[in-house]
Amino acid sequence: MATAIRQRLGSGFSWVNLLLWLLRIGVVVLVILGSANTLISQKYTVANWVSLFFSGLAQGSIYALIALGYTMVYGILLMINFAHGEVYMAGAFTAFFVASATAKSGLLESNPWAAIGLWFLVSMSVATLVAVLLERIAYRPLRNAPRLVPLITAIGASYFLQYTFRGLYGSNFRSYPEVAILRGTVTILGFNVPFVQLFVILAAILLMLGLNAFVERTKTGKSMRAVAEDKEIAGLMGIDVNRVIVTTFAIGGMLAGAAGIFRGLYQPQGISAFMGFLPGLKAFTAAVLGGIGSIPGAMVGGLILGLFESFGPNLILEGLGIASANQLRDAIAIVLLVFVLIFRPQGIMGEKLSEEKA
Amino acid sequence: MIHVRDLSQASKLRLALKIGLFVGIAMQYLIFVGIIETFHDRFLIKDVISIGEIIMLLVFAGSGYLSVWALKKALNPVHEEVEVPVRRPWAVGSGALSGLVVGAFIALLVIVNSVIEVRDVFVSISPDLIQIVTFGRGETLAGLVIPMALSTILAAIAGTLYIVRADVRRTVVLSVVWVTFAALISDLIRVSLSRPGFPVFLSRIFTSSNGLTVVGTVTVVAVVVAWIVFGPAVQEKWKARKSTMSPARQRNLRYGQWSLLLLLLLLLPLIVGVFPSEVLNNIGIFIIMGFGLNIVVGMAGLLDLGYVAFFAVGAYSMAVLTTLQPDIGGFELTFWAALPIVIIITGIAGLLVGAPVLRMRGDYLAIVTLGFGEIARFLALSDWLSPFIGGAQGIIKIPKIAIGATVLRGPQVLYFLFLAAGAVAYFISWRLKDSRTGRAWMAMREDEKVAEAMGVNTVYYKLLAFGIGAMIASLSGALFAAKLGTIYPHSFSVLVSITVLSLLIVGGIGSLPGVIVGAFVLVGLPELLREFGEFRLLMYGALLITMMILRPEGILPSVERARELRKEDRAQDEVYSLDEPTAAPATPSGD
Repeated sequence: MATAIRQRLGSGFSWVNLLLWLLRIGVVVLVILGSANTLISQKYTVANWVSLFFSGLAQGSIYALIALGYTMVYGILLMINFAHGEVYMAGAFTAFFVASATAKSGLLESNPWAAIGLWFLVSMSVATLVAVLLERIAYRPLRNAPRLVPLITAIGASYFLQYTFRGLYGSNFRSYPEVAILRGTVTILGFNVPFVQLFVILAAILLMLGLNAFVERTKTGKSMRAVAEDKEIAGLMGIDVNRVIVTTFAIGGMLAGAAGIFRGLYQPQGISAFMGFLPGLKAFTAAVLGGIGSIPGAMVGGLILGLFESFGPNLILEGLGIASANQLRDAIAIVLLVFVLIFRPQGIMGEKLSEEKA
Repeated sequence: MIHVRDLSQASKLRLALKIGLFVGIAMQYLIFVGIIETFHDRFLIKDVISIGEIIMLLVFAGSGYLSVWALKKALNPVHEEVEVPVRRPWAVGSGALSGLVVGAFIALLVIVNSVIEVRDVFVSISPDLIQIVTFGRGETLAGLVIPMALSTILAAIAGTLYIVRADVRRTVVLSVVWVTFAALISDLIRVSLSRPGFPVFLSRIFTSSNGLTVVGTVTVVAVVVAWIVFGPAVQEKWKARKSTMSPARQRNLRYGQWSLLLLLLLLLPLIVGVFPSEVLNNIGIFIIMGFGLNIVVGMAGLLDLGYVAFFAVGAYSMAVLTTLQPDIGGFELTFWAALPIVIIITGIAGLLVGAPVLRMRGDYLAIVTLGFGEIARFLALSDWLSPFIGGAQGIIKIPKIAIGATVLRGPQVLYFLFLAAGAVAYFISWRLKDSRTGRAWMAMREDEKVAEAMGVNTVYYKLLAFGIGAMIASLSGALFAAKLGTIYPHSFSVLVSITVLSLLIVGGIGSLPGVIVGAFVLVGLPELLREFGEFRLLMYGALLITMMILRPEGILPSVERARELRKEDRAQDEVYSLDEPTAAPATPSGD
């Protein structure tokens, strides 16, 4: 290891390194400049920042839930399940239909928590089913193929699912019914926070704690960790590798399905068959940011990404004098992904991955 | 020792049931997703059968065919070369059984739909659709029986077909394939036939405004039958004659063939007419991009999912440099003056994208380039850059291309520009393929570390691949901008990248003729069939999955790539046989 570093340093001057260093310095300078500019101009009040903070956190917890699916699958199969964003979309869609049904039958009015529980139950099961079918049909036959092959399949699966859902349910946007108990605001330290954001954040944290307990405490969780460590040896130890892989996809699908409901609950512009693409890309960013393969990493990465996306346009871009910075919100996440991959590919929490994995 | 098992009757039946279940679900998928209804608007044979119906009938028949195939496979799982006969009653029986299951699914749909409103959730299940799937009988007893009966009979016939003589089978299959194909391109045939100078009745006999005529269908079938009957003998004779020729004459013959092909290419727009030339030009855009991406992905092995970014940079820089729109650019160059600048700008863009991703491994690179493609679109759409590149309104008033004083107008003339650009891109790819550079790329693709150890400067070659790939895309983008005269950010969505990637993969990655074939299939067919539009990406997605699982090397594979993909599969199978070998399951494909 040490020799490798010395060799790298000793290899002398390289144009690519110079370029990367310049890039690094440039980014830091731009970020500081932009933020300072905005803060000095005092365009936004503290209340503005707090509201951005909570919406960022809520958005971030959605990313985190999706990112967990990416990271777990990557940890075990070393493949990017590009179609994972579509699992999230499937969850959101299913919940829409369950939600409409509960609204029509009056359950949502009379017993709202039971109704919401039902949404979660049904749509998490459907998302799980989609994820498992995906694994069974698209990925399992290619388990031992060259690395880019399953990625291409995943991209194909992603588009296939998007357009399947569009064909099945039509192309118009759909909005969830109003949920009375999630309306209103809560006052935290004198600031008003929409209750639905708080609900999303808390429920997501609950789910993540549950996942953590599952992976750390149960026997299945243990075998998941073993397979992530070494598939072959785990197989030799009597672990049914295929089953573990399916379980991983199922859990990832479940969490993504829940994320879909959260998205539908708190973003008024409704859901469509194409809602999964960008959040999928961003959740992948979050997984990489946290250190791909690491479960706590995905959680932290998701939250950080959400905050970054929330603050970024107003704090950094506006300070740099970019007009309508909010249009570039989505670009920020991708730029972040590029920089993380260039400068710290192992992410925040990731251990230094072995050559073969990283 | 040949391992042939005989299965019990129960397990044979179970097999047929299973296939019927699979195909039945696939059939339901096609119905629910809206394919059957959408394609019902177009006739295969005018007033006789629609494309939606033929899809259904083909699925019915397919279930029978598949079930006998599966039975054969189950009887003799290992030795492909040994023929194990399936007895006729079993072929008919399992075909019929699986067909019955498929038909029962449809009957079930009709019953369920009459009880509850399926349409509240699944938008495609309209009363019209129920009419289509029951072949016009609706929610009556006949409507339940007819699909089941039709499905059972067709599947039984298809099952029998599987075990009859090979040439009979080929005749039937090829007839169906060619009739369908001819019907799909019937608009094209019609337009090409109905032009001044041609007698009007020619186009009327074979094609209608909507699908083939009965005469046209019979003609196609007759040609197929004639080919099956006389084809082999003609081919044999031709080969025999060719082998007796002197080498010089054989060479001349080859030259003759090539020049004939060239002549055909040059005369193509005149032969086919205006609208098909437009289609050809659109295909040309993708062929050029396909060549470019083939260098990046096929030769250098860098999976670039943001290739549309370079296409966009090419189109936008051409637009900015030449537009006559008063508030943008202000350069007002001619196409030819702008072209070198455009190529250089895009080449630099290629290097700028390539540089940061140099150290990234394959799958990360794919995602990051995908991100770059999206960023390009966000930037093009943003108000921030709109004073320079027009924002969401795009750029208008891009002048037509002119040579000297003559302005090139109309698709039939522009065709030659696309042909020339395509030829340039082809030439570059062809010369690079076996050059020192091409071999360095190949080495890098196989194993980067080993290549580096052998003295390949991977940084240089990666950047070179990105740069050349970008420049070729810019050529396509520049022509695109000049052809349309207007560009909008929405033309540069990730869909373009996926289309180019799909056509590479379908054609066979790394193979140059494959690019052309892929572009004709994936871009040309949808252009001709507007019904495809909605399902284009659905089809691409399904194609990517099925190709990767069943035929990763593509339709027209390049030799070494095919060897590579297969070998790696096999070697790894031997090393890790953790899981029992699983057969590729039937994927519900979208077409």
